[in-house]
Amino acid sequence: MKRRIKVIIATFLLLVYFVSLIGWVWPQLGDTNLLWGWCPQGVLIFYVHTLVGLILAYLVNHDMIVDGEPR
Amino acid sequence: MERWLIYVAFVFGYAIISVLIGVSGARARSAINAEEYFLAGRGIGTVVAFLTMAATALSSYALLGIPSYFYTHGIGTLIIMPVALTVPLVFWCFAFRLHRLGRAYRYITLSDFLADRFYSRTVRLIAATILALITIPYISIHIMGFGYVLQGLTQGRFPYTWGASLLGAMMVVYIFAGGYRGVAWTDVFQGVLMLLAVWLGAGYLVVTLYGGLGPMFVALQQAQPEILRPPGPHKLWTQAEWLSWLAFVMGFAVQPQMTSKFFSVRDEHVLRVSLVGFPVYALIIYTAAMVLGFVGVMKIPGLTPKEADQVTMLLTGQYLPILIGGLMAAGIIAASMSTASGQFIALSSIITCDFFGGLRDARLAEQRLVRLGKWLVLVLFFVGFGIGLLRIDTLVNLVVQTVFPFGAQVFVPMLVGLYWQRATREGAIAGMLVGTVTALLMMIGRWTPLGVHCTVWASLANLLVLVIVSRFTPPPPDEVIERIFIRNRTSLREGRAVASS
Repeated sequence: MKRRIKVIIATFLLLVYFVSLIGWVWPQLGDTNLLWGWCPQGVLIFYVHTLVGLILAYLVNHDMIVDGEPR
Repeated sequence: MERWLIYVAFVFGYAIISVLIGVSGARARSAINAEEYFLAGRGIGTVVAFLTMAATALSSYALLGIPSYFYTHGIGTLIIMPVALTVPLVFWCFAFRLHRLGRAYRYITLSDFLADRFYSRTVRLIAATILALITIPYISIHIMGFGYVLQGLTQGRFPYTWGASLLGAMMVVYIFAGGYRGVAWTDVFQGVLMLLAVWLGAGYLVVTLYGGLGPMFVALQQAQPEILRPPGPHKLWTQAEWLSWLAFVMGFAVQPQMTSKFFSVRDEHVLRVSLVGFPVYALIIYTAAMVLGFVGVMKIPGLTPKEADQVTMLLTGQYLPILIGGLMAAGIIAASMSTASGQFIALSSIITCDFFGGLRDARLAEQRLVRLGKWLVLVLFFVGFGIGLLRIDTLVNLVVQTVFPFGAQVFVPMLVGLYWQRATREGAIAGMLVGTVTALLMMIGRWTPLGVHCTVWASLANLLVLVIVSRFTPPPPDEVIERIFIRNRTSLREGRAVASS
């Protein structure tokens, strides 16, 4: 795959992460239904989203989506 | 033995171990030049690099300021976790290039790169001045932190000035003797201690007082439900405020104590592991900070935002058994000391290399630079201590108000300079000046259009001016393009070829 397309995919994924954080996670955060007796639903959604971001950070930093430099 | 004396014993026991580790770092290397003293000879390995980055990035602000924010403003404070996560995502854009260029051209400070890229001593001086000015108040926060913690834990029996001066002096001893290597090794010890202390403390509180996380959240919902819903009791955490905090990472990224990590690591693999490891470490610490803040809401209600900075220490004194409390006290000091020591050595390198950089050629000059850097550490301690005596604001506000908006103004030319060949010296100078003045005016006027922090607006102004002025001024000399862009790519290709063979 061409590098330019890979850069677009990486940028798109990062944008989805940040836009969903502000637009989707923030409104969910106030959901205080307790899941499995230990964590409010909003907080759990937040942590799952953060975990996805962490995986994304790993993939990006290890050049698994796109190389950091043009070849 | 009285409780407060045991806390003091834990804190000074920890400080003595730190001094021993730091000083032994100096004994490990006999040949001292500027690269060795300020960057540990660019040879920091994976474990040390990861822990020094984590311990340096998370200061006492993580253990005192963040629980205070959870206490005062509630669940929206969780944004601090994506902010930590933004670090590897944003750093990916520039950290590897900076590391590679730093190794090739022997940069010690970020201003070294900016001066080289923008072929200008003026750019170096402006950037170095901004970085120095944002770091000095920050180091004073940590010295204040030493005083606050000991005073708070001993209920005033150990005076503020004694705590700040004695612990500050012990820190200066290991920085003076060990340089960056000593600082990095003490960071390893301090990073582990912080993690252990905060989790033992938070875990003990939540299990013994509530029987687990679930019952704690139930109790919190009954006691103060607005804490669990953004924007929180004081309506702070709007979506715009979350966006603003994400932008703070620009200012965070160029803090001298962070950029020195890029130049000090052994290779890119070490840097990758450190960058991704940092948010994992931060997530673990911030989760414990959330527990501390929420337990504080229920057990020590009614604190004002300023008083809430004390919530961790009040919980420690009132609800933790003495040994865990002592460990927590040492952990808070460790958090503060690990960041402060990184800032001291980085600030010393800025003043030494950027303001006296002309000396940097002969062997004698190298030795003079190192000597100057060492004595500057001592001078900076007295400056930071003097500012700390003023005690002018809450911990978090002081950090946010000074570091991030101005730091972001150096971030913009750095990032643009790495990617856009057409960016010129004049554009960088104009951009930094306009951005800094915009941030200053907006801070003074407390102006936040659309509810977004001035960091964002000032950075946009900086970027706009940089691009426009660059378009209307002569392009950079060919040799600059060759050095920064073309040779950089070539060396990468060659590096990969060697690695693959």
